Amino acid sequence: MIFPLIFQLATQADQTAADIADFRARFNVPPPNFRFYDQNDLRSIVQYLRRRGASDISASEIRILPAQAVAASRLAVRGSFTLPHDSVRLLDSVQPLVLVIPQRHLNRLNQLSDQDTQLGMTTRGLHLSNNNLCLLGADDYASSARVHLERHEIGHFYDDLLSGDSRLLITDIYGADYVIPKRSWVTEGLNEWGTARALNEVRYYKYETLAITLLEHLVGAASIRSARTTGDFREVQGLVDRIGGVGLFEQFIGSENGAEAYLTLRRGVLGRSGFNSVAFENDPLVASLLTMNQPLARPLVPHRSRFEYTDVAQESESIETESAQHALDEALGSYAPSLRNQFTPSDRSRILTQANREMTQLGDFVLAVAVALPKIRPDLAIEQEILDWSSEDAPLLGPLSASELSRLRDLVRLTPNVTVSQNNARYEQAMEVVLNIRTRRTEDLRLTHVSNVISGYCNQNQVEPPPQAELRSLGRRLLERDHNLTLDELTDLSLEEFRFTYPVLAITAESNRFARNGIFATTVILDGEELVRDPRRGRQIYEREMAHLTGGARSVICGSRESAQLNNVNPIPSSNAPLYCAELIGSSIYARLLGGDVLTAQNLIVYYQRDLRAIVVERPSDHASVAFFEEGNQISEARGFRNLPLIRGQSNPAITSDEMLDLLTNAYRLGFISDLALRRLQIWDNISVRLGRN
Amino acid sequence: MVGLDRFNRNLETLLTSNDYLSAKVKVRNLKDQAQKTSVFSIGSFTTDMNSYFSSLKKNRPDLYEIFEQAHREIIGILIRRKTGTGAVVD
Repeated sequence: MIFPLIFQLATQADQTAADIADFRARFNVPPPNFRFYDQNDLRSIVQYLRRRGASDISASEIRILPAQAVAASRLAVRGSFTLPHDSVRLLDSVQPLVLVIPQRHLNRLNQLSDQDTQLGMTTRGLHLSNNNLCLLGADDYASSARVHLERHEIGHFYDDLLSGDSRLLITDIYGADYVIPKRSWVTEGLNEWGTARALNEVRYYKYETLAITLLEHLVGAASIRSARTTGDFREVQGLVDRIGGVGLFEQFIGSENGAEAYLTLRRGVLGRSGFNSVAFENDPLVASLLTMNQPLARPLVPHRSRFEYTDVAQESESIETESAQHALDEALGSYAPSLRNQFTPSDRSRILTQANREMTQLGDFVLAVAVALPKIRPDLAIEQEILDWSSEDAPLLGPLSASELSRLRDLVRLTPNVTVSQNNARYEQAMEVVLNIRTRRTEDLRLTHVSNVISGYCNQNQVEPPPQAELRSLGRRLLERDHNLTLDELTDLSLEEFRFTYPVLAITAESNRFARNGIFATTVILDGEELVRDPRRGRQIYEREMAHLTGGARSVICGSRESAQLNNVNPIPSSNAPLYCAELIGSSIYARLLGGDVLTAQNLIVYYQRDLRAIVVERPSDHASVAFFEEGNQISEARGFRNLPLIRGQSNPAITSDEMLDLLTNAYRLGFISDLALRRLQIWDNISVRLGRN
Repeated sequence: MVGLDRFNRNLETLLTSNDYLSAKVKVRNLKDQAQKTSVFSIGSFTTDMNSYFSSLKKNRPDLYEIFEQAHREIIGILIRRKTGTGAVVD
């Protein structure tokens, strides 16, 4: 299994001990940075939501539900956690604050644009970590889902408060404790299971909830509640592994989504003692899940499976029971929806007979009909393939040509007295033709994609692309390495392969791209190595030259006009005010300014609050410049900036304008930033007032 | 219970279909990109990502139902990247 191997790295004893201690600590006290808002904090809440994306929300649009109105939900959710006696008081002393906000603001907070919502995307609620706010969308709150939604979001609050959302504790195969990341479907499944169990109805996350409901039938609700509270799943793991074998729980919990997890667990415990399948099937929660949409309208049968079964002699025995005919109708409707009316009674009877024979090997009637149909009516089976091609593949691969269609129909044309086995052979031959066409066109599509990606990149960056034939051969090289690459993967790999195969072209293109954004390379040394075709050598050249290029770019962006001239590079045009100001600051902000924003002190503060966590002020020599970076030091260090702790902002997203001005005043007093720079930022007046005041 | 049997059978078939597998790879890639994409490209990434899930929801609601939670997880990742604070989106 790959999953335990990946996380073995994080299982050093000291780390595990620290993690367990962390679990315990969170079990008894809220984390130190947890913020509890109350009803009187409306102003702070508005500011908080504005900073997080609901930029135009007003206080009057926020409805804070009174504590007594959500008391029932809160108590019900609290009941789905198992707490030691001394922690109950803690949980009573901290309460969620449930807010109902207009749907458009909730969508904005949840990163959905108006266009997304017009396309049917929607969100219902939100809980932001490390605080007690539970946000509900007004639309869902007004519906019958109100209580369900309220409890679901409160559940997230308690999850966040108690065990955190990120890790869970299990044991490895040697019995040692270790901590693995908690997949988000587990969090959702546990939460919705808790809510749904209390209300006897599932509304959200069908598969995730089903997976946890199955788990409940194996280990009991109490074990799950306890594990959910602490993040300690060792007991649950032991119970599951006892029923389904060692490793089953880890496989289950490591599944990528709820649907896979459910099937993994079901396969692992089906027929084992310790799992009562009848009780599971009769669980009202399962019944509620089944009334939600059923998956899959039409089964997708792998083509090869039709040829892998023993040939059966033709028979005319008919099974005419009503239920069999009904099942056949359903199966034909699934497999050949457009052609179901073209089967004669005799066809139906023969297909049914054949399907019943196939059932002995397949065990699934719909699949058995899919296998039987081409053996009885290969002409209609291939007709269905042609229809499928038209509806699914044509947009990408292009339609089948007239000659291809006629060849396919000739191959499967019915003649009298043909045996099942002969029919099967015809169908197989026709499918071979279809697959060949599909393979050929798919490859062609992918090669064209590679050519288009590289040509587009070259044209966009003003270099002549290599000849098409060379690009197609580059594409073939990629596909030989991996036949299953998706178009998205091909896009990335194409550019990488291009850069290492044609390093000179790629460097020129990158240089042009930088120049288009006002960043000019100081030196790009090509060394006359244009003829390089060895990807390993190409990679060295590309990376070496890119280091020059990005080094040069940084010196322009962060250096002064004078230093740009000194280094013999083009300064940033002064006619463009935002660009001119951008000369002072880091390339990250610079990139934003290209979007047309005007740099003002207010904007800087907004940027800081919205995206950034640290301020770094640098004085290379005779010139001061300001750069803002993301949280953590990696980026600033990687770019060679010094971090000056004296004036670095706290990692406090709620920094105010005043605090920012204090920070910059300090920077000026310490000599890390010039008055010129502050004038350019249009905040000199504010700073001088502060200096006078001090 | 016939209903659950059919549900399980259909789910087994769905999870072995090519459409599911390619959507799974795509979603995995999106999750990966959400973690790595530059903080200044998050806007365009979000647009593309939501547009993919919108089209999945419209054309293959059965698949979207499976990946809906992953969609919301990706949004949560993006919120954390932008604001520094984690989020559970429903």
